[in-house]
Amino acid sequence: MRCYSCGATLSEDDFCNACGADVKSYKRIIRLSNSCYNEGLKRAKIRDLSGAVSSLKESLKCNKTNIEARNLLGLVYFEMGEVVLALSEWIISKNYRAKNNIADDFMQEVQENPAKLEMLNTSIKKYNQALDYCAQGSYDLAIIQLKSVVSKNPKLVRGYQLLGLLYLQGEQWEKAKKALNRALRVDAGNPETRYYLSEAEQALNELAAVPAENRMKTREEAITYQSGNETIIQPLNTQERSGSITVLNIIIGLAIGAAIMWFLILPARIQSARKEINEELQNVSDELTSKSADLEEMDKRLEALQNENNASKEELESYTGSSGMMNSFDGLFDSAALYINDPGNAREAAKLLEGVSENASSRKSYQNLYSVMFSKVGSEAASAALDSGKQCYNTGDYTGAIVDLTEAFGLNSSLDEALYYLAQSYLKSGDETKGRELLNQLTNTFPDSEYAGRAKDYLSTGNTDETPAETGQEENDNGETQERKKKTEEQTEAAAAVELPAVPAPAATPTPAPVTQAPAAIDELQAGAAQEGVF
Amino acid sequence: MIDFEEELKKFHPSPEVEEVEDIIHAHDASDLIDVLLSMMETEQGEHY
Repeated sequence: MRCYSCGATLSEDDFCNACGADVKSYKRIIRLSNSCYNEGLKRAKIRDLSGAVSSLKESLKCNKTNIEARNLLGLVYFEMGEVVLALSEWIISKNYRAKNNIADDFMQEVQENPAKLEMLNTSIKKYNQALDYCAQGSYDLAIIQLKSVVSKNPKLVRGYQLLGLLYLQGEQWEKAKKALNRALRVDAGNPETRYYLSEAEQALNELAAVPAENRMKTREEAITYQSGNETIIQPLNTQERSGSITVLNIIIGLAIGAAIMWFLILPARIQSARKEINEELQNVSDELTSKSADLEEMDKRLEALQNENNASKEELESYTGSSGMMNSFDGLFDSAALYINDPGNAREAAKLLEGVSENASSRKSYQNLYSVMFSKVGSEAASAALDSGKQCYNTGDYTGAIVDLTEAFGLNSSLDEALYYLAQSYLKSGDETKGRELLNQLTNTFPDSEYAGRAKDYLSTGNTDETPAETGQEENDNGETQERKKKTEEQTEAAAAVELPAVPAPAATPTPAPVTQAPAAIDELQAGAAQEGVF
Repeated sequence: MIDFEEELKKFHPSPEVEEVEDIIHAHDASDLIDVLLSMMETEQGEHY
């Protein structure tokens, strides 16, 4: 305790040791204030909140700077639902003692929950509105409003009190008693609450002590008795339910439940399931359509690729097939190479030329080489075959003669000599029909030939020609070979009917001219083929 | 028997949060000690 004058700490004396001021009355007031604070604290501990408020207010009237008393007063207000009064006391307390004040904690706790503060403030506003309704005589509206108030602010003692008072006014004793009992749970020592509660209980007691005839009537309808703070009204005009009725009721309940399931829940579930199935079916259908479209597109692509593959195969066949360009090139080149290396083996070169197509390539170099090879090799091969055939004829090998002479006439169809000796070979080999046929062909094809006259003699007289054929070796000896060969070549060229590029006339023997010309043509052809991308 | 009208007059509007400042300003800041000191000052003034 400090001196009110100088602030020095006071002793047990009735005056200040520092300034000499009389502090006797001052000390008594301070003690009175503390005593009231202690009283308020005791009442607060036993939930006599209104008594605590009274004591604490007395304490503060003695000493307004009694911080503990003011903070406790704020706390009691807060417990009674009076949050605004609580905040006011704490703020004033904070004003008197800025530091080491527990009011800081209280206010901080309230401010940390603004939603709750807002709800409490709303409940206070509704309480005030209920008061207005009461002033206007709208008690029912006030009751509704107060019910909302106590539901949001269940510690608002004044709300319960006013609600209880309104119920008393409406003679709703039980409700009034219930509301007032709730008020007592918050503030056990509130005299107004106890006063109203006593009124309610008295009314209930009076109601319980009604006249006998009324009570009998009541007994016929119901039995009313007290169970603690509650009044239980039990109706009497109900029959005791037997076991069979209970079972029947259960069965009826089950039937009603099943009907509800069947008519309300089940259709909804079925409809929901159908909807889900339809959605899933739609999704599957869409996916199937998409897959079908993809499949169709893949089929089209496959067909296009197959067509492209067939076209490529055909193109490749045109190059590499038996009648293709590559085979023609190979045959022509092989024939040319064989003829260049061995000009005397013209028959083999001619055989290689058999599979060569003249139109395998449209290039001029190919055409030139083919013409050169066909004319040179063909004529020489025909001559060689003719000579071989005649030699076979002279030696009596008519079968070999037929083969060679057929080849010679095949290579050069203007060789009347080959046709004549071929016919004679058939005749002497016993095939007179074939021989006569060939002789007739000779007389028809070469009517001016000397062999045509000899053929006519046979056909008219039937005498076989026993004159040996003139072979190339014998002609070479008598100097007629060159002339015959030249004639044969000219005939071959005429038969080929190809416009040849400046082919020199053949010499007495296989001249180097075509041989030297062929490699040049081959080189040109190879260059051209390389440009075409053949190789 | 309760006089409803009289009892109803005992209920007053509860202060709302917006009125805290007004409540603080209206707070009676004088206590018994202030009265005592005032009396002592008055007594001392009369004495002198």
